[in-house]
Order: sequence, then C-alpha cells, then structure tokens
Amino acid sequence: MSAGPTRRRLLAGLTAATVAAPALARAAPRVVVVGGGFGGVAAARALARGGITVTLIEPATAYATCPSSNAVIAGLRPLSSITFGYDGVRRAGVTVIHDTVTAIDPAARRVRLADGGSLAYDRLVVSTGIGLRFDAIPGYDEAAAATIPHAWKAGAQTALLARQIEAMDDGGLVALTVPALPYRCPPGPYERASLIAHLLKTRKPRSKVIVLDAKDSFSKQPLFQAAWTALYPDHLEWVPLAQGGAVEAVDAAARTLRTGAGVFRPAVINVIPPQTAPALCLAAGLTNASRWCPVDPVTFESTLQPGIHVIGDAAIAGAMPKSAFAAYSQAQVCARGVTDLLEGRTPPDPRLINVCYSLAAPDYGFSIAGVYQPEWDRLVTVPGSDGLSPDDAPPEVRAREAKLGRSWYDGMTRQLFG
Amino acid sequence: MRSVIRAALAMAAAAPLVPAASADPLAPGAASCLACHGPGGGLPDLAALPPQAIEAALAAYRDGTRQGTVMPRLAKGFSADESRAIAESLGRTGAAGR
Repeated sequence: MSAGPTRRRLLAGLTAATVAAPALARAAPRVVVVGGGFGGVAAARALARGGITVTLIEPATAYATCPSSNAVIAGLRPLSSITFGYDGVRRAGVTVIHDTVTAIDPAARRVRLADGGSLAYDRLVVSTGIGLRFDAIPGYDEAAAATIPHAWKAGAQTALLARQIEAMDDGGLVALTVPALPYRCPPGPYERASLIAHLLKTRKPRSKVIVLDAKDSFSKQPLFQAAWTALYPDHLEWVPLAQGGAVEAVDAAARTLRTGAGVFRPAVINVIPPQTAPALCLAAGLTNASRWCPVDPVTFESTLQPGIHVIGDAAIAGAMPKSAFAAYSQAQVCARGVTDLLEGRTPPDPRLINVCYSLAAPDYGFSIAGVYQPEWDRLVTVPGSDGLSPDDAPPEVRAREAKLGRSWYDGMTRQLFG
Repeated sequence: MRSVIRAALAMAAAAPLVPAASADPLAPGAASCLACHGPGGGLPDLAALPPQAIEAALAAYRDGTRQGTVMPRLAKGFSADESRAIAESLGRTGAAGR
C-alpha cells in the first residue's frame, strides 16, 4: 500500500534527473569544421540545418572556387565572379571563425588556432583540400610558385597565371605540366589547356599551348582529344609520359623546364605539382603511407583517428574522384553520419554522386557522372551508373552541357554561399 | 520497481546529446541530388514536383525511354525502390520539406 507514494516520489526524482542530466553534464555537442570550401561549407550548413552547434574555421574571408577558375585564367570571366564571402554561411546558423588551425590533438579533442586560442570538439570534420608538394619536382618550390604559378588553389595564383597569359606576346608558348594521379580535379588540366588554346586561337593566333604530362592517359580523354582535333589543331599539343612529357626539373630563374622530350623555354609556365593531403592532416596522423586520409565509407570518419571525419580532396574516397561535387556529396553523407553518431543511431549505408562538367570551349562542354556506394571498407561505383558524355554528340548537346555546367556552378555557389 | 528504475536509467543513457529536432533523414543519395536540383538553380527544383513525377522520370531515364545528359547515367545507380524513396524525400511535401 505504501509503495504508491514512494514510487511516485522516486519516479518524479528520476524524471527530473533524466531531463536535467544531458543539459548539465554534457552540453550540446560541438562540431568543428576545418576548411571553408565546397566540402566544409556544405557539411557545416547541413549540420546546422540538423540542429547541431557547428563552428567553421577558415583563414580566408573570401573564397575563390577552383571550379570555373580555368575560365578566369582564359579571360572569360573575372576572378571576382568566382569569389565568395561567408555572410551567407553565418546567416545559415554556422559560427564562422577566420583563423588557421595549426594543430589537431585527437586525444584531447581540441584544435589549436594561429591566434593562440583553441577549440574543443565532440566531432571534427576536416575538409582542407590538398597540399601541394614543393619537394617533388627539383626547382619547383614555394618561392618558384611566386613567378611560375600552379594556380591549383584558386585566388591570387589564378590571377597571376591569367595576367601572364594576357601579357604574353603573340607567338609565345604556354607550357602546362600535369602530375600523375591522384590529384585534385583529374580533368582540370585538360580543361585549362583547352580554354587557354581557345584564348590563343581567338586573340594570339600564332601562339600555342603544350601539355607536358606525367601520364599516358587521362580523364575524359576521348572527348578532349576529339575537341582538340576539331578546334585547336594548331594551338594545342599534348605530350604524354611515353614521349617524355613528365617534367624532371624547373629552373625558375632561367624560366626553363626539363623533360624527357627536351628542354623548353616557354613564355608562360604553369606547373601543376604532385599533391598530398595538407600538412595539417599529416601532422595529425590522419594520413597513411599514400599521404592521403583513409576513411570509413559510411561516415567518412578517419580509420586512423576516431572522432575526426575527413571529406573532400584529402580523403581516400575509393572510386570517387577529387572534385567539388564529390566533396559536396561526401559532406551530406558525413553530416548525416556525424549527426547519427552524436545521437546514438547507426548511420545507414549511403549513396554518393559525382557529376563533373568540363569545357573544351565556352560553348563546348561534356561530363562524367557516377553513383557510388560502400563495399566493406571502400566506395565503389554502382555498376552501370558511371560514364562519359557520348563521343558522337552533336554541337547542340555540347552547348547544352556547357550551359548545364554553368547552371550547376551558379546554383551550387548560391546554395553554399548565398 | 527495479525494472522501472532500470528502464528510466536506460532511457537516460540513450537520451540523445541534442534535441530530436533534427531534420527528417533523406533517402540514401537524395541529398546529393540537391547539388543541381535545389531551389533557384537552372535545373528543375525537385521540391516543386510531385513525387510520382520524379519517380516516373527516374524510371524513364533508367530504361532509356527518356533522353538526357547525365541523368540516364545517374538513374542507373538506383533501383526502382531506391528511386521511389528519393522521390518521396525530395518531391513536394517530402522530407526535404522546403
């Protein structure tokens, strides 16, 4: 009989404790996102939309996108048109801090900032893009990049290369060196060569662009080569590895390139160096012997450092290429995984998508597309879902894909930065 | 009594770290569709379409009766059931709820 009141009192006490416990003992979980590009902004916004407290750390107050940067290099659009601030990200409920993460302490679950402060996290999302290897090609170091641009991170480097091409006298040679895979944006160098050739053909017709490649095959190769034959027979030459295309040394003072095919002294040189995950990832123990970051394909959590998720170009994403679209897709899956893990659920098996448009000329575009799914410890292509635009498409289809690529870019940047 | 306490403690342990105000989860793959098919882009805004129309379009792309650029390739990455789940997530009144 007396059990009633006792039981009620006990239950009342328990209920109060239950309700109060999460708020008192553990505040709302904090997620920190490092890197304000396509992956980082997409992840931060998706997490904020799901009610998670999220802080984005990005050193730059204005972000220039690599997608569409080849059009800037070829004088087709201004750098300002591919540069975005972070006000829209803040309006979406993300705390944005403009600072540099100098170190990650996986054990303490903290990141250190250049200003001397630090931030604690329950889960960390690393979306820091690539590091450029300035130790891989003799003579091509960070100092050399001040006069011989890589332009493989958009912004000042993009503007530098655009200025050099613009200032070049007609009759000059533009040389572009391409590394072996893996690197950011596999078809990017060939789109860049195409659009430079378009500029030369229309405005400096006695000039030429030469592609010095460390590979014998490349992304969208049949589509690019058909376009080059049709559009740039006199303005673009591709030298594969087998013909001595790999760059062996750069002399920044003499402005020469040494390759197996000989020594070149171009008017303009663009060296796209080999790449790696950024130094921050290497220092934090997020990389394996390949210098890239192995991740779980369901949540993008590092397989080396629990609590840290890596998305975008730095991650080893199996069959997915290193592209902005892939980073966006990975960000959605990662945000879902982070949210589920924080809330005690098992994340479902995801599907991811990549679509990448390239331009051979302003009105001549084509694409590669694919759907991806986890297979045990890696991401694989869903059979039948991947492929290139057809080889024999008429000009209307090429023009349509050029337009679709611009639509994607405009919609994507509005969604992320608007 | 003991079982009540255990149940209450179990609930406390399982209580989410954040309020359950999170958005409804989307079907696998659906979030990536919005890279092109969100509001204000140059491509169809899926949130403005009935789910049945999205499902029918995906089926037509998959079996080759509808032409396109990237969609005939991407549609082959999803089964009929997966396509229906995506359509229900993203179509008008779907979980994306925009």
